[in-house]
Amino acid sequence: MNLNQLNRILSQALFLPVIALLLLSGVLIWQIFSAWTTVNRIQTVDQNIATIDLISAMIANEQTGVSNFQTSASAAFLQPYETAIEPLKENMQKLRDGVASQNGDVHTVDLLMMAHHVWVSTVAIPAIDAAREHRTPPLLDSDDEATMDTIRRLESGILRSQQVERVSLADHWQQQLLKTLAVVVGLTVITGLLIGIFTYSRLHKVSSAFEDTMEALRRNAHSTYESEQRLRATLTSIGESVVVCDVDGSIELLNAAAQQLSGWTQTEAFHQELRDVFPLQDEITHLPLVAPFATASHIQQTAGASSSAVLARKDAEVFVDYSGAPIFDHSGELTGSVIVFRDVTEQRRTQAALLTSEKLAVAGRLAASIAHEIHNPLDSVVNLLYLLKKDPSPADRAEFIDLAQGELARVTQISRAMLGMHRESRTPVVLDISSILRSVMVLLERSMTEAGVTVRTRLATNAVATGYPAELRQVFTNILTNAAQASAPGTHIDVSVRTRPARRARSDAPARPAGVCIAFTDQGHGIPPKVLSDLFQPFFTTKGERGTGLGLWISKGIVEKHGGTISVESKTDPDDHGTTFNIFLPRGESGVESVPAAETKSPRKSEPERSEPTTVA
Amino acid sequence: MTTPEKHLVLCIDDERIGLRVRKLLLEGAGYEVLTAPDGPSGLASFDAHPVEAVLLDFSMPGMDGGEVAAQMRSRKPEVPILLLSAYVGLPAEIDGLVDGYLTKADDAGTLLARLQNLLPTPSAARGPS
Repeated sequence: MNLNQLNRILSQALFLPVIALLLLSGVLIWQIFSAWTTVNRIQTVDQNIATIDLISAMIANEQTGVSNFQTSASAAFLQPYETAIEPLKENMQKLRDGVASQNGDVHTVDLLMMAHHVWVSTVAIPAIDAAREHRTPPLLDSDDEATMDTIRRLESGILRSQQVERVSLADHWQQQLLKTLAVVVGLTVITGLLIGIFTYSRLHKVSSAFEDTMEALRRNAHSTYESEQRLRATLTSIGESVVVCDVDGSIELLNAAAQQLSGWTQTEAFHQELRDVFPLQDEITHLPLVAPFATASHIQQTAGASSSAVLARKDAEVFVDYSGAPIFDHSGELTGSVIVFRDVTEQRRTQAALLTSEKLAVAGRLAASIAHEIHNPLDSVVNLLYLLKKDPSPADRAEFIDLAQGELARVTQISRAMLGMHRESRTPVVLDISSILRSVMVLLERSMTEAGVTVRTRLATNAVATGYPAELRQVFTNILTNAAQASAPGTHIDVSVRTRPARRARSDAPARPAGVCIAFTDQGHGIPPKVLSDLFQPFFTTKGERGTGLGLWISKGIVEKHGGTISVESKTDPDDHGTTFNIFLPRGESGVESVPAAETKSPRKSEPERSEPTTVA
Repeated sequence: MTTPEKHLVLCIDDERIGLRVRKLLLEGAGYEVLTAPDGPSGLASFDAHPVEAVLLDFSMPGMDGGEVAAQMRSRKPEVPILLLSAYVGLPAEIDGLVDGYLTKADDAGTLLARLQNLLPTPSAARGPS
């Protein structure tokens, strides 16, 4: 039941009794009106009776007056007769009107009037006249008596009929009263019952709706409780460390994993600052991180993004990935945050092991290539020495020595390139990307030649980025080797290095830093789209036994460690195919925040191989 | 060095200097030497001349030593082939295909001795002149 229905029921409960009582009072008014009519009629009848009584008395007075006058001849006795004449007429007329008004027997009244008239004209007037003339009045004969009798009879007839009428009207009035009472009582009872039944049924509806609502509320409360229990159990049993903080970054809840990770119990950590329970440090510099998720703005800025840090526990250092999400209340107000920590120490170790193994694999492949490079000139030198021992002519000798020197210079060049390859740098330095690429290509010259591939280069000068040279060489070697393996003999690999200026944030594009764009484009068959998406996944290889499946994964890691990006695009169309790897390395400070300024500008900017740039063509 | 019994040896290598020095070495040892910088031109020389032995580099762009050796075997199986490689080992499938292989930068004397062993003696090969 909704509010509208309830309101309708309430107004029904208010208006229906009012309407019913109005109807009832209508009936009552009608009954009262008809009773009042009856009373009026009774009054008319009473008046008629009074009038007939008066008429009887007057006629009797007349008769007495006439008879006394007859006897005494004294005018004084005639006075009653004379005074009665006019009122009698009026009363006769009044009686007639009264009887007529109640639809009574007017004829009888007319008869009475006529009889009286007859009596006056035949009895009274002759008697009076005789008396005045002192004659012997005519004797009253039987006819005269009969006239008077008729008058008396008619009078009493009218009186009786009026009395009967009165009785019947009184009866009628009484019956009417009873009927009215019965109707009022009956209607009251019926109306009361109907209102009662109606109200009961409506209220019953309301009450069952109320009960339903209560039941729904109970169920809701129950299921809320259940789901809260379920969530709590989930939270407790979940393997990741989950921390719930209020909006100021003080801890409200630690799940079991979080308690284990931090070494704090829920009771100890409750209402403590997050930064005290989870003291996070930068992975590289080990400087304390500004407490994450301690401010509302930080919670909203970093929602969903995953970051890495070192958790400096009293007993050990733990590598963690963490991410947070804001909690909003129903009005959209920020009320806190949920932070998830993941212990990635083991993962980091595995990653480090994988990195080492790939580095070794790269080194192994390079060693074979380098041995080959060195054996060729050495072979010439060995043969030349043999020839020199045979005591050649001075001209031949000079030629042999020249050739041998040239070949030894090649060996030196290769060994220098190798040195650069394996110089590990602990801190990022400013690098000339073009010269690093040149040194890499010196080492890969043989593999390129073997694959029958020509490398075309467009290397910008002053393409400077900050980073770790050995790692970038590993990336370039990896991508160039892949490109050579994908290329058919006689095709080209294009390598370009260009600088890119910084860009401020615009409405259509975000800001980006200045840096160096490096593109490697081969003319191989291209990479199918479904393979493309897995390219940077660890252990993904299309080379079977020949590859570890780690190269591009590690390359991506290295580029991202430098604050750069790596992407790939590929075309597999039979007429237009090939793959391009694009690498962007920022010029600036992103990788060197942790290094003191003096070391950032490393004097070792000029790498050994830079003095002997070689372009394979 | 004007004897007509000089053996004709074909050297194939993409290393320009290495090839030149090897030619000098073999000529000094009394061989007549043909050179080719890659597999296809080497095969052309092999077909065009009465080559008696081949010194073949393994790793070359385009057609490698293994392929060249296989082609030569199918054309003139009797001509001995000595494979040279800058690598320490060679793929197994090459092993049975050639008469021997040498690692580059080994002693030059070894190379000459191996080559000598592969060739028939001038008298046996050509008969008395």
